[in-house]
Amino acid sequence: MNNASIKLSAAVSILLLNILCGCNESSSQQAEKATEKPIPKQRFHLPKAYPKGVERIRELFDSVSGDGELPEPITYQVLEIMHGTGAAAHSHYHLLKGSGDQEFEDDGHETVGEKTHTVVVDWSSELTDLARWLPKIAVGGDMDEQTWIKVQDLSASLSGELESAFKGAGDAAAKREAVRQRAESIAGTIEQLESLVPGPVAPPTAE
Amino acid sequence: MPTLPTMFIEYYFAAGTLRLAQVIIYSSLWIVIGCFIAAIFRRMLGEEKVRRIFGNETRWGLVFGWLIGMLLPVCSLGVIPIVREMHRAGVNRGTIVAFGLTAPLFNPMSVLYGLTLSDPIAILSFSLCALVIVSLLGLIWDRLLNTGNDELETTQTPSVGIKRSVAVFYSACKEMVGPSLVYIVVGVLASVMLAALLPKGYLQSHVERDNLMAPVTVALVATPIYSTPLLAMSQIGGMFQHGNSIGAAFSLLILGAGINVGLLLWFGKTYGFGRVVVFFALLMGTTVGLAYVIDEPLYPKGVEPAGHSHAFDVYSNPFSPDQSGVFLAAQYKVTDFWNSNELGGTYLIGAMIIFGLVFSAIDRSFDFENWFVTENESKARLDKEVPGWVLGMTVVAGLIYASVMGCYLYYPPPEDLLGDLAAINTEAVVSAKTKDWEAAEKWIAYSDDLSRRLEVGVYLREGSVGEFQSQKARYYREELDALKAAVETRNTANIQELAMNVSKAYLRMSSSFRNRSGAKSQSTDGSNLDPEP
Repeated sequence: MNNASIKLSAAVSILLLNILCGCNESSSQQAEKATEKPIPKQRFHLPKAYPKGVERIRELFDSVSGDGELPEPITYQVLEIMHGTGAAAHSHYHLLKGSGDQEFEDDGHETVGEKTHTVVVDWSSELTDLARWLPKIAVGGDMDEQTWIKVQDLSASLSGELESAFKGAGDAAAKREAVRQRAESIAGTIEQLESLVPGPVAPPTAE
Repeated sequence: MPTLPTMFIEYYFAAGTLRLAQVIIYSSLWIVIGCFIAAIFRRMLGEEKVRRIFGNETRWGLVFGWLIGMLLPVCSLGVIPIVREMHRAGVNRGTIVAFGLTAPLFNPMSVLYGLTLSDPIAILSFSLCALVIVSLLGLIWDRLLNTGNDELETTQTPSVGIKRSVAVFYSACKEMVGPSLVYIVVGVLASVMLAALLPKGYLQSHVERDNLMAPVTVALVATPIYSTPLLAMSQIGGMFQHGNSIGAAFSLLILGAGINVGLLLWFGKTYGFGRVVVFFALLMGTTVGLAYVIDEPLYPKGVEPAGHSHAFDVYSNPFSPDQSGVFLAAQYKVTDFWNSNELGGTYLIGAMIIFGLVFSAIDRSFDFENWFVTENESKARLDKEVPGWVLGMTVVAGLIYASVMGCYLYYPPPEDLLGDLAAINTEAVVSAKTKDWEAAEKWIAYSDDLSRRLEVGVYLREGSVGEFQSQKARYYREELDALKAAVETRNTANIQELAMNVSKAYLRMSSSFRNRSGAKSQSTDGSNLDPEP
């Protein structure tokens, strides 16, 4: 083995050791660093059932396409519990529900810090999320395969419509205007989605 | 109350013991197969036929290398006896490199599994990129690094009859206690040490899509981990589902499943450590380079990053330094792992080691090599002579056939699998509801695995899995994940509700698979009933 090989092996070993042992950051440094990072997308505004999802889409759309106030954003608190240090650092996220006496079990890892995040979901993000999530929500229910496929197609169509509507629209007013311009087409898709809501919870037909 | 140093020793030792058991259970069958393939090459095919099979005299050596490598069912430890035999037979070095890297990466079973875990185009792209790396390295080795002249040993193939079969068994057992064992042990120990050293939750949040260094980080730690093709593929599928870095997943496949420290040591010992350093640097460089190239284009659409990955959980220490009772926990996990993953390989490897030692002892007073090549004097009239290479090729073809047939056994027909899954799912739900935590952890993991095999079983037989069925299975696994999280943290607050959700999700999934177009039989577990009370 020549010198160059030995040097290369040594360099790789040192790099590997550094990765294995982390960067010798203290827990507080680690926690601080973790808080700087944006938290992953939270899904606490995901409706539990398809009818609820469609109902909320209708509610948002009617508000936005009408002349009244724009819907208030959904705001919830998320508790981030940070575990481990170095390369083993990771976080768990929990929804905080009003009262402050919630307890969250850890997963056997060392807890290095906690931070509360306020997640704000404005109406356009919520509408886009709901449109995209509909097949996922519907698959948890009793919908038959053919109906579900229709939901999937309509969801793709609505998502695409909203995506192109919001593209380039800067503020809430511009987004509202973009939705209004496509109101007929979006309303048609929502009506079709409503017609697929199973049995007794189906909404009344449009007047 | 254990003292702090004792706890630390227990922490490392328990994790090491657990990983040792896991690697032995995972790899034993593949090592046995590797030793037998090497023995068949030596005793039935002979050096010349082996060289011909691997296209020594043609320009297609590399292609033959990776094609045969893809079909033979071995892992990166099981490939060691085979590459040693290929080297002994004088196969081109580039072909050996191509074979040695491809065989542990893919087999029909793992590719099928991978196809259902993520977008088929992603797994096919992974396979294609892997072949590019393997071919490139093989070419470079042949053109630039192939400067030495190998001294060829020649072994006379045994005479026909029972002696030939005995010779194969003898060689396989001797290989098991020969130099191959040293390289295998080195590979195993590297994985054991890594599992003891890497802290719990290692890299969980470091392989995210937005982490530019993720492919490099994984590349730097992946080589010692040891992974079977199937395990690596399931982890890659998990990384796709969690929206982790696709480049990191690729690094994990090539450097985690494709190579290990034992195999590198053999390359170094055989061809020189200087060359192997260059080879390894090239392997790392091309892997990481391609990882960055495919990172963005192959990122699955519509997936929201989960912000964490469990890909490295199995390779890192499963305990916390301040956790007590880790030995007992490790013992429980080993038993559990044994019950769900032992396929007879450890018994076979144990028996072969004993036979290998016995043969070595007898070798001192009896010349087996001479006995194998001694002609039989009397021959029965119906005892027709079949050339060794015909037998050898038949056995190799049989192994490939068995590998494909193994897919059908491992992924049974959906109707059969659903029967098993119904029982396993019930165990998972009941044990969670009754707070039998250890049992719940075991049955939840098993249910998750069976639900994946269910999809592969349909794919294998029907060529595709319906989006509806696939989403039902995914939803079922999400409910299992939620239950698993509660079980792991011993959170009893909503365990009944979560268990009920799993139960409902199972019934819906089962119903969707039974009622799919092409399904043969009706429900036997009530899954065609409305799951709502």
